[in-house]
Amino acid sequence: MKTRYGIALDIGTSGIRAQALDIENGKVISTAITLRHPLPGANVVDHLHFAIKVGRDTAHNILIDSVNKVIKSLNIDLKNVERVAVCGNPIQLSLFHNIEIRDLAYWGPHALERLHVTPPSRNAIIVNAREIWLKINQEAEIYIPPAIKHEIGADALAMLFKSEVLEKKGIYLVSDFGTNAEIALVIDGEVYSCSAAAGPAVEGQMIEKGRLASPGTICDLEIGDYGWKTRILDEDLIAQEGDTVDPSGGKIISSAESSVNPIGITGTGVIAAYSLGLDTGIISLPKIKSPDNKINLHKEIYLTEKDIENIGKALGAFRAAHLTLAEESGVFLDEIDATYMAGASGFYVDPHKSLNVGQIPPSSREIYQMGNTSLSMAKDIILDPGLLEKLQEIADGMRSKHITLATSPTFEKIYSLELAMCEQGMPFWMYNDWLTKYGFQKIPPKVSNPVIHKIFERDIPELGEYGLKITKIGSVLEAEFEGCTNCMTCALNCPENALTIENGLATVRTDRCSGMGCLRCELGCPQKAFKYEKLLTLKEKYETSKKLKYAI
Amino acid sequence: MSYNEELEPKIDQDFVAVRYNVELEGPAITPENDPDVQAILPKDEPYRSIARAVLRGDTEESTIKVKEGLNSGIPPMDIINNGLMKGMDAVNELYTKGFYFLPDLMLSGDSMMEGLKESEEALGHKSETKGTVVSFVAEGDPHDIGKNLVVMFLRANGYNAIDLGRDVPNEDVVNAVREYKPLFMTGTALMTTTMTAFPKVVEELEKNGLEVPAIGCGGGAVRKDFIESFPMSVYGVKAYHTPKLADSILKDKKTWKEIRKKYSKIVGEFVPEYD
Repeated sequence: MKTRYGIALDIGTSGIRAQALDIENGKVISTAITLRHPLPGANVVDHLHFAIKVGRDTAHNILIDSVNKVIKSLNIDLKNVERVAVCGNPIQLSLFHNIEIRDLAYWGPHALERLHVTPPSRNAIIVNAREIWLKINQEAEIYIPPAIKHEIGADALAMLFKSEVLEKKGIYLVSDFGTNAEIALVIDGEVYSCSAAAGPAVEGQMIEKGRLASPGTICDLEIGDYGWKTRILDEDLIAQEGDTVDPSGGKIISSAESSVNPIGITGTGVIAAYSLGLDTGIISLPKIKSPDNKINLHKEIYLTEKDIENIGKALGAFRAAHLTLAEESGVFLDEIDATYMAGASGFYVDPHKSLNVGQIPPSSREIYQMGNTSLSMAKDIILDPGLLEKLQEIADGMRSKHITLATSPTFEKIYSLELAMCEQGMPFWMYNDWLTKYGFQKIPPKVSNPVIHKIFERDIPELGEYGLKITKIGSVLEAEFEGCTNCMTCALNCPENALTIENGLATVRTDRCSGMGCLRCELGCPQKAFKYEKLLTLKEKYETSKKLKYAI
Repeated sequence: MSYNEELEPKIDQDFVAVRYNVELEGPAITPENDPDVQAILPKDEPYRSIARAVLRGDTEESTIKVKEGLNSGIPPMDIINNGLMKGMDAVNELYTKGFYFLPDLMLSGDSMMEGLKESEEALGHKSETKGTVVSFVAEGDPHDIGKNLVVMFLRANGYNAIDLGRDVPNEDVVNAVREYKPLFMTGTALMTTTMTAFPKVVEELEKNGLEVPAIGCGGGAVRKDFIESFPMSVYGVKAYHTPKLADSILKDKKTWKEIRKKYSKIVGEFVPEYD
């Protein structure tokens, strides 16, 4: 008898993850991921912006093209795929489903009225492979889980569902850490949620030497005998011991056995450096106290004072968000019974450092590192499609209040304290004094021995017999520019090495390109010949991919 | 050991020791004992009490003192110029020196504004200011912390800041320029989807034959090269630079082109973005 397959999919801002499952016995067969998102941009707003500019259909096609590549590298007979379940934030799921996205791109009534946008339903839905153009058995059912509310997506539902805090008595803090962090404070089943635009800094972006998690990046640091011991991701994205470095001067104190030169620092590494920097005093906000005003982590890898400011602002958004949620719901942060961290960076980060720098409250006594809950919920749906309806019921019945931090006066007051700390060097005790002055609770004391529950070795617990495959995205945009003198300024300006240009013909790798938030290619062109818009006009491949039916 | 005690050693003590409200050794130094503040604070009552209330960010006290002054027949303009503004000058002094922080400034700004409201009510009209500045957050963008800081810094420095709020349609911005003929304008955005409003605002202004000496644009996602890709605009790096940019237009008749060239000089500090 042939094997019946299911595919669980997680579409995240920093990449696509997929797993093939045997429907009969629930066994994981294989896993494939991409290290970037196929659409240009460093965050989900950039993805949105790109999608609006290029047109929703084309953005959808680029995304699906990548999903198809990932699925193909799962190494299963795609004719026998019967179920696909997908999870992600509302923007990614809307791009996947190819429904309205503009309601997620603008806040407030004005832009949406002007554009005549009606927000679509984002309830649970089953479509078939043909509608999405997935290159699998065309009759396969595709399960798309519901958003809880306009602002809270299926990714937040996944972290709440998998942490099982909705049915429990007690106070729980659940966060999914990504470029955008979904944070929920759950009090006896009642959910207070917010979304913190912590920014790409905590994913290693917007940091001069920062990188998304990939082989060769520094992912953690420990204080060693005479310096900081680096930990570096290997080809399988497992942390390996690296050299020990003097952060002040950058000298390598001792080399690791299999010494490699790191290519950058990833989000968890950034948090580690910030935590160690504060502990050792090399960071004295807003300054770095070293001869070159940098924290040196290897020969060419360092953090600047500007980086430190960006990290401070990003982590400050977490701390201010926790306080805002606690104040709005009327609990104290040290009353929280357990803290749940979802997402890859929430899994790989050292929780001691997280609570040292404010990524989670310093009073977190019980910490659960859950891994990728979106993928995990998608797997649950594959094995029990009836769950989809149950998730809709949970979403409908959820007693929840969403707090938009951007418009919360409480958040504004607290975030200004964060700005005073990381931009002006206001001491921390003053921060607490100000909280008292405002009538808010203080930041609770730090627990010394938090209990950390980390059940798996990886954020995706089981990779399957075929292991992990990293899929190359490889989609490109092309355009020819009149008046180009081949001066190469655009290619040299490109911070992501996404662009090549030859005789006026520019080729841009969509997965690397930072997109609408960057545009350094266009803005730096001395001839004013480079027009990013032109890259968007047409890429035959994506326009026609709808017509190129995948016949099995 | 508490969290505070743990963090204390991480703070640069040399720096902290000279700060105010710090009881390290001996009695704490109060803000009004600073010699520069002493020089700014008025000697006569009720101005001194009003200025001190503003300096402390004590809104209740500043309102009471302003009301008392007005009731005793002191002209509202004198209350504003000799009391409230002097208090704000002292706040600015401490902020520039690094002894006061953002929250101090916000609190003092509030007490100044409350006193100003009382005085203007007695006056029967808006008081005279250095000039009018219009501030807005781009359409579709809710993030207004940056704009609120800009407005606060402008008011603290004697400007009439018209706050158009968040999610402001381009035509409302154009109408505000027509109505107020501002000396300077500021636009902020945190999202890349919304910062595209800035060149459109400039285009609309040009179409309507309107001109502002300069439009300072800034915010999370906004970069200098983007802002300089269209006319009339200046990339603003820090919120506290805003009054200095306005001063340069008011006093030295600087245009947006000149501000782009002399930014560091105008704000009086080295600004890496303009290096």
